[in-house]
Amino acid sequence: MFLHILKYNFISALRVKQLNFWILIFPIILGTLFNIAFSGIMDSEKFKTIPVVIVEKSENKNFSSVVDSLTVGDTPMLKVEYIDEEKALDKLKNGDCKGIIYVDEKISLTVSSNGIEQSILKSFLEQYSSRETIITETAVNNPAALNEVIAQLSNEITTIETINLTDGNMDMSIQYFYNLIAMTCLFGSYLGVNTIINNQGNLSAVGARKCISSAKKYITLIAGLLSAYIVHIICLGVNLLYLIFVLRIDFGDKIPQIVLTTVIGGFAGIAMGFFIGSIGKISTNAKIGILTSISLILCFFSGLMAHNMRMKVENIFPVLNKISPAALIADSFHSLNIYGVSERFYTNIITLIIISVIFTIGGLILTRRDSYANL
Amino acid sequence: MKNNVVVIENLVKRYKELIALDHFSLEIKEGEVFGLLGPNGSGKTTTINCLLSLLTYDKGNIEIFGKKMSPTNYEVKKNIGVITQNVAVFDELTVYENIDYFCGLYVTDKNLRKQYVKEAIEFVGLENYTKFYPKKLSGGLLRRLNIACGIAHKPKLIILDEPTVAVDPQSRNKILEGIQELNKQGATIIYTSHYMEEVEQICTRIAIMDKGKQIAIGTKQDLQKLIKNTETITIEIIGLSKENIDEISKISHIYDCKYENNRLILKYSGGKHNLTRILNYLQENELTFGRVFTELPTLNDVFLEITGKTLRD
Repeated sequence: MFLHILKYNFISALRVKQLNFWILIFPIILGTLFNIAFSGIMDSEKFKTIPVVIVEKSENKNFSSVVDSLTVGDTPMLKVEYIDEEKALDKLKNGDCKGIIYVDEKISLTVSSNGIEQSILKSFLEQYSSRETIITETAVNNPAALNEVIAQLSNEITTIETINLTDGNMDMSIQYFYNLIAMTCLFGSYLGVNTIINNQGNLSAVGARKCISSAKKYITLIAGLLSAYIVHIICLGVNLLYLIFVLRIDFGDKIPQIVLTTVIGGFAGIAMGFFIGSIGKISTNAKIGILTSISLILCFFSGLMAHNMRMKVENIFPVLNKISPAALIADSFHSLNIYGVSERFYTNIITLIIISVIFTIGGLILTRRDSYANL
Repeated sequence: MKNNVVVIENLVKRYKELIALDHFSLEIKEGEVFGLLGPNGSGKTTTINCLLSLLTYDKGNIEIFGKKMSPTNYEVKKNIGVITQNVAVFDELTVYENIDYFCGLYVTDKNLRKQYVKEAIEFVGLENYTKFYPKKLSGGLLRRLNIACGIAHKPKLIILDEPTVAVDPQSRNKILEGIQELNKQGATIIYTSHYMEEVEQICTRIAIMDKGKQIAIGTKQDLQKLIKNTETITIEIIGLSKENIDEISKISHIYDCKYENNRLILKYSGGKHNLTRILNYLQENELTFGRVFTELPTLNDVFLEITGKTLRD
């Protein structure tokens, strides 16, 4: 009987269009919109090779070696063209290059406007000038080491190495996708409350029909919960796959932890809806209204809507962050993003499991009866 | 002597100050089609819900198939089928899936269930709609689906709570024939309805409820005996004088005489050869008359006289 109920509850839950919109379609749409918005920002921030022309009024082999070393690689720093001054000025005027480097006794730079590229060129020349003495002395005193010195100098000029204190991701836009997954986990609460509605004789006609049948209440409830969970996990799985393989969101090497958080978070979302739905003798619409209100409030305080809110709650009422499923799911993803796989992450996951189990057992106890004082 | 299938003793159900059932008692025997009648708010649905242990009650005792009914008495529940007032099906499941789902709450054997579902579909005539979703069905077909979901597991006791509300006459006839067929197959039926003619048509015994109390019970004939009116004669006649009406009123056994719109309506309480006597009077006074109608009291008359209310109020 359990499998029979599970099968039909699963089919039924899969076909509830409104629910599937919120837990499957809406996150996909929102994820796509995030991706479009953030990819524009990321593209604009991506480093582009700076076109520059060099007008050689005298030969400077050392400088040429350094410049040449900056023109190689996947995204070289410079794209260099050696031309005469007249053509160089034309190119600068037409915007075909960002600056003209004059190589004479002194190395100088001419630019036509201010900008990031021009600043980089200026900075590069300043750095070169400050180290030119080292190169010249090396050429005189130890010519064999000249190439090595030039290479090292090029590295110093071009590379700024990012050193993370943790193994977290410094790309903050990823946090929005984590928040999206967290929010989708919480949308599972509607599946949870739907399970209650479909099993309570005082909330729906099908609930009444089940209550008067010979099926034991806890069997119908657990089968309902399990089917809701399976549907939710499938939808969350599709969302994750879409983010990873279609939108190509780079979650790094934390996929197993993301899957773990999603699986537990999905359970927490359903358990929360199940528990809230089981409280009080009120109508179906009122229950859904209360659930929506509580979900939104918890999401707000967990920082899913306003970035700094979680810290404010931590200062004023820290208990809420310790017990709110929204806060725990959000913080699991947040800690995963910022601190990597940490103790804080696992503490959140364990707390989520405990709270979900409490919610589920509480809901089962509150809805265990088949008989009602009012219908 | 047939066994009691349902025994309700001194049932009391209160909703705060309101007494919905006031020491209500009832016995229903095996094989009966039992009609439960009453105006809105009389306590019919409350009785059904208490009977099914869906509602708690304050006092009294309920036994079904000789066993005390409780929410966890699954053995008893297994033999009960309910057709609820509100259509209770899943909108997301097809006709076949709905019937299979609800049948599966009682019948665990897959092959047996398949057979039962097929029979239920044939019984309600939904063979051509098995893949339809409920929202695509008309009101009548939806009611038939509701019935199929309630009876697919072949229960011994079937409770129908106003199953023909908002159903077209063809579907209603189909449903009523189905109920009689289920009864022939051995099921005991409890039937509540707002439609008096339906109850008259199919019920072998009837109880009338009002204000949570049982105010009359018996066969249709038993109930007819409870009221003053035994016969109503209507005669189409033109130009009847006041003197004629006064004389007619004095004919024996007539307790109510009305003359409206060229129609003489006479109500009798007992007596034999009532028609002969009035026709003789008309002939003797050379009064020309048209069509003559005679009718025995209906359940509606019984209901009106006993409760003082119309059933559809």
